[in-house]
Amino acid sequence: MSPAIPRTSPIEHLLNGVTRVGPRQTEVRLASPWTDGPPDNAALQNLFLGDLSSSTTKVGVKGPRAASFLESQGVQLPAEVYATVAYGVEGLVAKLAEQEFILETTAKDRVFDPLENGLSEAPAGLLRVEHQEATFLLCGRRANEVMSQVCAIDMSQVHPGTLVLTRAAVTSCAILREPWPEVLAYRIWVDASLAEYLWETLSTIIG
Amino acid sequence: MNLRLPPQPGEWIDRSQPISFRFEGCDYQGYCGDLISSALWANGVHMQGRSFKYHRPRGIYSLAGHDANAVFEDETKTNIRGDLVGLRSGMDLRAVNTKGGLHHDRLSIVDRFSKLMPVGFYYKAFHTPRWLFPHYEKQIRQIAGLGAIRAGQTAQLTPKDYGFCQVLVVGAGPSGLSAALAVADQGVDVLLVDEHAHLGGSLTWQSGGDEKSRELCQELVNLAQAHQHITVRTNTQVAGCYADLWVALVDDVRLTKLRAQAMVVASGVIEQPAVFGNNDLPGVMLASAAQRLIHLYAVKPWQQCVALVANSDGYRAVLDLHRAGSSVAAVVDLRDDVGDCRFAAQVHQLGMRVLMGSMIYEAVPGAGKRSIRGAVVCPLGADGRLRENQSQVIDCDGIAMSVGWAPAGAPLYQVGGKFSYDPTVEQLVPREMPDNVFAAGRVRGVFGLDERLTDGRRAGLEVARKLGHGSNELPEKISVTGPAPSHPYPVFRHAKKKNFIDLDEDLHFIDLVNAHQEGFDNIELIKRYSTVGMGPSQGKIANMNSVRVLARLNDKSIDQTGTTTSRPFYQPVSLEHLAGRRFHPLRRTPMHRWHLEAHAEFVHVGSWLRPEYYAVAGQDRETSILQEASHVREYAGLMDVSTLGKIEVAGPDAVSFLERIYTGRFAKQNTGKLRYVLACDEMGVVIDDGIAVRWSDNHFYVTATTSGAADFYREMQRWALIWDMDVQLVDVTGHIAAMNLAGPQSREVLRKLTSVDVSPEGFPFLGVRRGEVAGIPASLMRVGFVGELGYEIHVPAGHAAHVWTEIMRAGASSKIRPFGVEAQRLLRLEKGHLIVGQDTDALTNPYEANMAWAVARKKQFFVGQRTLQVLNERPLTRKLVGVKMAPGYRGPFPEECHLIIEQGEMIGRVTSFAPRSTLGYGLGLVFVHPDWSEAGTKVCICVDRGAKIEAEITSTPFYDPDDLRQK
Repeated sequence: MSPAIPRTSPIEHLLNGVTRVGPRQTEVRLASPWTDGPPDNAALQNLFLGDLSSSTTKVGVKGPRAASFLESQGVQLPAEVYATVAYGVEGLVAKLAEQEFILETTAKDRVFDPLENGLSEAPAGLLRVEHQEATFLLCGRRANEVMSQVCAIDMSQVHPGTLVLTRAAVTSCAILREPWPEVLAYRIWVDASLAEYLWETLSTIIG
Repeated sequence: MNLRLPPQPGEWIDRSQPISFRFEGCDYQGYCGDLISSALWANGVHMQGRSFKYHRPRGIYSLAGHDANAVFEDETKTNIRGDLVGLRSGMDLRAVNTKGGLHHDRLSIVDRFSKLMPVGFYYKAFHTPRWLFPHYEKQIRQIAGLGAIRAGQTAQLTPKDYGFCQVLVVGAGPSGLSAALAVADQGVDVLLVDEHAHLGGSLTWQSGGDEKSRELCQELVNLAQAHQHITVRTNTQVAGCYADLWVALVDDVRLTKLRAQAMVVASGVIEQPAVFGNNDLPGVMLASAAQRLIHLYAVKPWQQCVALVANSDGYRAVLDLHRAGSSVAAVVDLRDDVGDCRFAAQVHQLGMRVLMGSMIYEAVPGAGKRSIRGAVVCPLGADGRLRENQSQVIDCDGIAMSVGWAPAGAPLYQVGGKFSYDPTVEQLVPREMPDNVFAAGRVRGVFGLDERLTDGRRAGLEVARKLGHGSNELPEKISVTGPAPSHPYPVFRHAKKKNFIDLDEDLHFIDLVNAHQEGFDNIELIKRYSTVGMGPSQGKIANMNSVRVLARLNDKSIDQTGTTTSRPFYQPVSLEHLAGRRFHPLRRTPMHRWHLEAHAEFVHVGSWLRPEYYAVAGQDRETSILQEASHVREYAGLMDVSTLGKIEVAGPDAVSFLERIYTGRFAKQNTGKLRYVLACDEMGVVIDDGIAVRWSDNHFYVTATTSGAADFYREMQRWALIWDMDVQLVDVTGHIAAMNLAGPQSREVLRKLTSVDVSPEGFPFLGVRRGEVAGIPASLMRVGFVGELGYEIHVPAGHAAHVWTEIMRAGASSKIRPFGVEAQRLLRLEKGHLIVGQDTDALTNPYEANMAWAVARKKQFFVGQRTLQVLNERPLTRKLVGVKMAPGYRGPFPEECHLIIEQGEMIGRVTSFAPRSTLGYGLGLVFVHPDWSEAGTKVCICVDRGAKIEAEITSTPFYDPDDLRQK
């Protein structure tokens, strides 16, 4: 069961003075240390780094019965490893391996509750995996310039909706190229303990 | 003296942007677009540096990025290459490698003693007598080296990045441009890279008055820059090529790690010097350097010069010099016949004096060898030797050399290409290349302009076809034809003067001869003995002549002699480019901010930042640590242990897997209980420890040491694969935070925040429970690492700060305090608990560490079992025991790794020591020989500065030996 107490972003203390904007339906916290004033759509189109950590929640399911369990809960699953599909209104499901999935949605969405109930019984062949990664959003037409300074993968060639398990600024990350037509955007999942380091690194690069 | 010419067609300088700068304390003016060296030359500054060894004056030589003696420094940087770095406003430059300035360099006296310093002299001279070596070393270190490191300079972060392209074209001369356009026209994306500021290659500076070539150049450049499939990077050098076309591109600000699918190398050729007496002095330069000065920077090279030529390019340079207003006193041609050369015909038409079959014997130095004032010219006999008795002196202030070229083939060599010598062009040309690498133009020995364009186009179409684009129809491959643009041996011995082969390393002809006589007759050996080609330019204008010399000394061909290995980097690359942004990931726990606000002093543990202790105003570190520990003993303390490794182990084979990984047993471990676990490697060496929680029959949760967690998780994964076990492993270290609530008041603190029954009966020692703490789902574990009643509380990382804060709030009435790593280390030391990696080393087995109780020797199998069975049969060679100082001891205390000495023999060492403890005396853990491990034994510990102190071996634990408090 998701706790009622809101999750704290690992970079909460770095986000003083942030504003909230909403690309698509997801409420996104966007920090703009490199611009004067609140971010606007122009900035979002150019280059933007946002933190979704406190507004999103994740759960992982692993094991031989992971797929059947999730399907029994009405969750549509990606066919291929590293592919993603939409989950509910605001979430997504990513297939990390043949027997491993991660689901992310907004914290206010309670769609995980039935899943958690099912997982709490710890049925055989099914392991609930805690996922507390920070979620960052790097977007804008210059996003690839930033990516090229931290990641050895040619992200411009990654198919939208595909998850890439790689390293960014020598930290292990999962990077999803968002399938958004309006703006080039990458969702970055990084271990919470490395979130401050990666945020500061990306912010420095962005300038 | 102002040598700036009127505006030249296609010049690279911007006359609307004058730039003021200083050099050696004098003010000068140049233009935006100037190189430092070109601006200096335009101001009449011909002596721009001193040579490396003899401190001889040097000036412009190649003006192509290969001049290792025109090197400068300012207040921020050193080793600024004058023929590579653009002039910037406000530069205040000095030449490197001088004592007393460029004009009054005290070390120039070395040139007079050069006969005492033949090649390899330092190998032979400074090793005896041995007692003088420190003096020699100090002196050599003071003299040697170029530039000075500015230790106080703030490090610059550079934006090193990754790049990707389908086709990389190296070099934007006619061949490269033609190749890039050909492949791009097939719809393939091209990255066109050139080390110069503008595209066009030799077409920009090697005109000989041919306006058509200039127009052609502009046309090609315009097409390339406008092409949608071509990306251009100028001022970018291909610094290195590695496997799978991983190419290092370096420009002013960054290093790009590029992945290319295919590559066309059209990098051209590098002009090579002739070897004659004083061929290094300011005023002697390659003809291509003079042409660059004229066409790119609008600078007149000399008032009157002599041109030494051996190809048509030399005559073209003579025409350029003539048009620039430099009087050409004579053209000295090494050959007897110019062949069909239209440039030579034009020179003849101009009535210039041409001396065929002749060579410059030496340059006549001006005052202080800072310039030249003439050239001594001799005819060549039929045997190819100089006729010195027929020499004549021709007045001049400059000598232009155009006697041959060498391929700029580093990218081809570095990707595994093979070269062979083609006597048709007297040049090394590529013979074999990887199938996704192509060469075009002069690097391949194709010199005619039309031929180069065709060759480039063919290479472009070939690479496009390789990538599946375009048709199979290819133009016919251009054959390499004569006349040879290079002289086969432009090297002439001088009886007295220095005739340099390598200007970087100050090696002259006789140095190579001497090295050869000493037996270094192989190209790789002579390179290392003489250091030819090992200077900053990496032999770009030295290697070819050294190969020719060695080939002749050995009476072998160039191919038989071979070349040295071309390794990255092609040009010197600054360390800041390599370092980039210097990524150093630091892991922080969810409570990091809280620790900061509580004045924690942090310590690096592995990749983590952990609170070492919490500073108290007016109190020293040791006192703070002791107070934190005492507080845990008396009341309650809270420690952030989120850094512990945390691994989920689940699946039908979970029990079997753990039985194999760890030394203990798990089959009979009850659900809801935890156990201490110890892991060894195949050699029986202790590699990790922690606890294992059993949540269900097939689901465990284990912890690992902070610094060893990542390695141990990898080891678990490796074994799971090897054993082919049905087990799921998940590293949740960063996802789950943990805190250790310890001390006699800890139960009362926890009771306020959870509905879990925390009574001694309901939640006994080594029990585990799940429940909510402060409203957050948590796993609770009864542990006793610090020797007090204690709970580890594991919660999702995103809620950990909330739980921590609530515990601190709830514990306020119980006088709860946070405690750091050092207090924990003291507390566990008092309990005699070891820390893996601190009290164990890379050879420690469980028996030595008093951990035999954790080894279930009768299990069927576990990692390290066989070794431990053998070790168990052998007597111990050391044993981990406690050691303590007498109460009230006032002297130096032992530290980690201090040795225990008895009768002159080392019998042990200290692994951990705390000078102050809650017990009132200093205590620690030591490894000692078993003969000295009996409690009550006095041992002598050798501490810092050789002092020896006495300590007493004691049994452990020091504190609460009956373990009453933690239960």
